[in-house]
Amino acid sequence: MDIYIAIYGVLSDPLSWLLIIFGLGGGILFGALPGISAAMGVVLMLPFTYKLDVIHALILMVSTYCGGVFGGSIMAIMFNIPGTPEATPTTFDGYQMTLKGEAGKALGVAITCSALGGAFSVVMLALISPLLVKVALSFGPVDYAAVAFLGLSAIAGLGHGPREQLKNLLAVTMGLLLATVGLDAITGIPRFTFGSPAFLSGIKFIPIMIGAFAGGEVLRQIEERRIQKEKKQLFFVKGVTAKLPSLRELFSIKWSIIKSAFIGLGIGILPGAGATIASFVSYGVAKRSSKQSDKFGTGVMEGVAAPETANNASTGGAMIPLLTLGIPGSGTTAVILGVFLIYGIQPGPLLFSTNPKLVYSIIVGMFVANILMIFLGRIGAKAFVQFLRLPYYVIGTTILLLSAIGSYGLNNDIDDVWICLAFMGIGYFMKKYKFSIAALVLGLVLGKLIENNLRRGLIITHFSWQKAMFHPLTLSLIFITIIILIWPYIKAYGVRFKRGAK
Amino acid sequence: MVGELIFESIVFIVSIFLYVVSTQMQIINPIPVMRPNWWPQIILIIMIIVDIPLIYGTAKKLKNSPKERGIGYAKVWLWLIAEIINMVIFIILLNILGFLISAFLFALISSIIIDGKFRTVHPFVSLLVSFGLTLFFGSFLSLALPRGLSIFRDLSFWLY
Repeated sequence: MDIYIAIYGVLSDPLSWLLIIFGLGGGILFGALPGISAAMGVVLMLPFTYKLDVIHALILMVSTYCGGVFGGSIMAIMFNIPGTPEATPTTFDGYQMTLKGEAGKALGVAITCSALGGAFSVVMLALISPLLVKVALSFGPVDYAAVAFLGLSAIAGLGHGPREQLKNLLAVTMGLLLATVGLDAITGIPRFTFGSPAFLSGIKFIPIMIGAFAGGEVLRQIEERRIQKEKKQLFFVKGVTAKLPSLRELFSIKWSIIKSAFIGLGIGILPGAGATIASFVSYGVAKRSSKQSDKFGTGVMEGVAAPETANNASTGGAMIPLLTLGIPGSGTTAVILGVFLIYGIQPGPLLFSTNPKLVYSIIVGMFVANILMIFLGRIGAKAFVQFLRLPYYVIGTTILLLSAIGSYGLNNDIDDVWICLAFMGIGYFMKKYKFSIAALVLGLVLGKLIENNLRRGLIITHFSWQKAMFHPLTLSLIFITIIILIWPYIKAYGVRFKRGAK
Repeated sequence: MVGELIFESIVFIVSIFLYVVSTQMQIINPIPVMRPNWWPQIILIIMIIVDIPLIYGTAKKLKNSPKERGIGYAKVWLWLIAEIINMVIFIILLNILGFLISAFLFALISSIIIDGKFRTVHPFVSLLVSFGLTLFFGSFLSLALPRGLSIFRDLSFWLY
């Protein structure tokens, strides 16, 4: 019943439609611009939400998320530059299609498959979430902490090799440490406030997210541009219109689309993994299982369809742990969690019974955004390409001003802009030296949840670790966490062992 | 790579400093879990343990690698520092000149820094960006943007 109310509520509300179109368009544009990830796009949309109610704010956020994940494919297809990391496999065949004069067709396939993948994942989100909620309701505080640990370890374990993994782990701990600033929830004693009353309520994470994600990237771009002495603008392609594939064409690649949709959904649900991994895995699977696998990389439709279906299918998947457990699995969903918290709402299993209208409105909003992507992507592809001709000083300056507005507008407090500036610097160094900002943000967002649940769990069991941990679910989660953390070392050892044997 | 070593070393020093600070926190209950510094100390110990091999690895790489980037890279740093100073001035001016004028000045200088040179189009673009954002957020979305002091404050009411 709730879902019907939400469907009616969203579809009959002109503001919702306007926000979906605005969010989707903005997301596609942000995604298309190199250097602006989907997470950064969602961050840049934050100031637009401050005057909206929670349902509209979240509809705007999820629409931007869907648009941002798709947007990267425009640059990937047209210029062989992935606008977002998840669009990298799209360059393999998408750009080859452009070289063959089939840019419009490649864009059409990307739009259609993104929309299909996204819509499928949203339907699955609506079907799976209520079932997961029933399981989540049986979770104890230590289980929650263990799930959150699993999420953090997954994002920490994403690095290429042990060194990068250590960097991610350090970024996670930095986030966890930042979350400890302020009054201790159990004893009420101030921690790391250094006598400043401004920090008693803790460090606000919105200015940190904005500074680290957006500001840090602008500084990084300035540096790159100075080093490369201004690259020539590549964005001069004119007259490209997306041509949607015919039903027959779509039917010929149906298995790639179906497999990629499931891969995207599955990987999206996993904490830490996300659109990028989903698109690479699905490209690999499509290549291996295709009848024309030898033609992959020369400009085949399947090579565009697989990664684009998967990366958008991961969006619905990534929303599942956020909505059912209140635990974001990626940087983008961590920002979306931030929006929930601005309004004083904690997502999780209880949200489905306390505020079903909100949950289902988000789901409906996401579904509509994915469907609208077909129309907006087709009409807008030409316009978005024109936007890409904007010089970076316009984009960079606008991003910095939006960051200032986003930080200030939250509480009308200049101190938040200073925090944003400080994290601009930290974000710049983290990006430069390959420390994951998403890991820092996840640590920051999940820090309090982990600490409070762990301590609560231990208090309930009279400080007995044995009683707190020795449950099948908790032990399994801890086991998986440990495996994820030590896996790169096992792998590195295996490689060395093989070399030694040879 | 030197920068990376400095960054990792700063994280290491800050971690040790914060660990020392955490030992001075007021403790009401002697049970470890009930202490306010229990959780931060666990995190700080992990940070220190994780940072040591990172510092060692970077130092080892630095020793084995040829010297990188000379004077040219210092110029890049100057641009970055200029942008940060520009941001600092912008934040200070926000409460004095208000959002619109501060944003215009910031956008103008920022455009020059990002572009690497002054172009006649910069003032127009800066005006457009600052005016557009002020109107959109200040008037259309009624977000309380900083108004500045005295005359700037009065003037801001005409716009947002």
